[in-house]
Amino acid sequence: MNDTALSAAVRSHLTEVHDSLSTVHLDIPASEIVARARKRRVRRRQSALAGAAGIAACAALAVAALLPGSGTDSSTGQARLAAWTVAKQPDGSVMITLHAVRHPARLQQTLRADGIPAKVSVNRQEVENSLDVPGCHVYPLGPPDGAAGGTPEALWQKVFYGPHMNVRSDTFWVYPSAIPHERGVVIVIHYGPDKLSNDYRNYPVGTDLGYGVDSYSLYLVNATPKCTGS
Amino acid sequence: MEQEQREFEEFYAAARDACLRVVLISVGDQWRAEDLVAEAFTRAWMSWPKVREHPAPRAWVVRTALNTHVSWWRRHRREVALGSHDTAAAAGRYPGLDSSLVAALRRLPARQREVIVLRLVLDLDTATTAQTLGMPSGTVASHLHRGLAALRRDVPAPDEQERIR
Repeated sequence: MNDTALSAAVRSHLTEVHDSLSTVHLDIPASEIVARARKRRVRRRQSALAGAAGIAACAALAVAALLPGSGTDSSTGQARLAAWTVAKQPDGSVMITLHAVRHPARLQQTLRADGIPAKVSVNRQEVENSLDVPGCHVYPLGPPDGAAGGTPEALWQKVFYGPHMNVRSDTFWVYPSAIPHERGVVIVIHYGPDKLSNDYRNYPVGTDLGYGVDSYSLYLVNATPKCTGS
Repeated sequence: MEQEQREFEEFYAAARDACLRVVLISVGDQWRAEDLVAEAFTRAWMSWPKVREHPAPRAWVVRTALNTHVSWWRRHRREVALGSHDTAAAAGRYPGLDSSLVAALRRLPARQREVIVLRLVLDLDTATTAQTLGMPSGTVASHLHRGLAALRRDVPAPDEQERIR
């Protein structure tokens, strides 16, 4: 069967399915949609103001970092920017909290300084195939036995969450001791197609607003100088 | 503003059920589909000046709903492939949702699925599909070709399906 015939058959079947759903209705009144949008606009304005305050705080931090005896406090194992926080834990893991899509290169640098072969990549959600991280060979989360070049789910959990369960959606860990030999980690931070203007850049990761950063993906990759720096 | 809101409400009244059904075919779970479509309409109203000028506002809503679905799954499942456990309830009520072709459609990569939904369910032409998805027409054709090839591999030929039914 050629494409034309197949597409006609698929179209006909899907139309049939669509028509069989004639009893399915969206019962939400228009007024509720409009009210929801209104609330969203208010929250967006509030967050934009908070974001502006965050930028000011970040600028102050950057200035402070240039002064002797101040800046990122390595003695506490903490690196904190308005956009993200990296905190070394007593068990050797590193806890990462993402707040916004800013300074990904510094996040990458911080993780590498902590001995983690890491790459941080930022990806518009329109670019669907997030597995395509330039310079890296990504092992997607795969079947439990890790067949077909995937990452077994248990290993993925061990590397990125260790024993932690039910955590905040903006937080994950990296357990360097759980990373297999010659592997590294890639963090891809996604933001949606509507977030290209500066207005949307300061939304926190993990909020359910649907604006700003939508989500992030965590992968194991081949550790190479080009991908993870070592 | 009042005029704009009236326009939007008319669009919503005319398009909401059709958009919900298309999204339901794609995601399989009625409650999730309702959430996604409501969210997509909320965004449509927030961007109404842009959406009203779109050549296919319904496609804009469907596409936004499907993108939100991808985002939701990324946030909650982190790259675990789209599962079928959430489709069982709706499939029980609407047997069409349980067909092997619809199941295969849901297994397609997001872009291929979007192209097939826009081209074959919403019946958009290639140029409008391309504009809605923000990709060149050639890419639409290639996603359609690859999507159909995958469906062909996954699903018995329609005449065989007829015999199976």
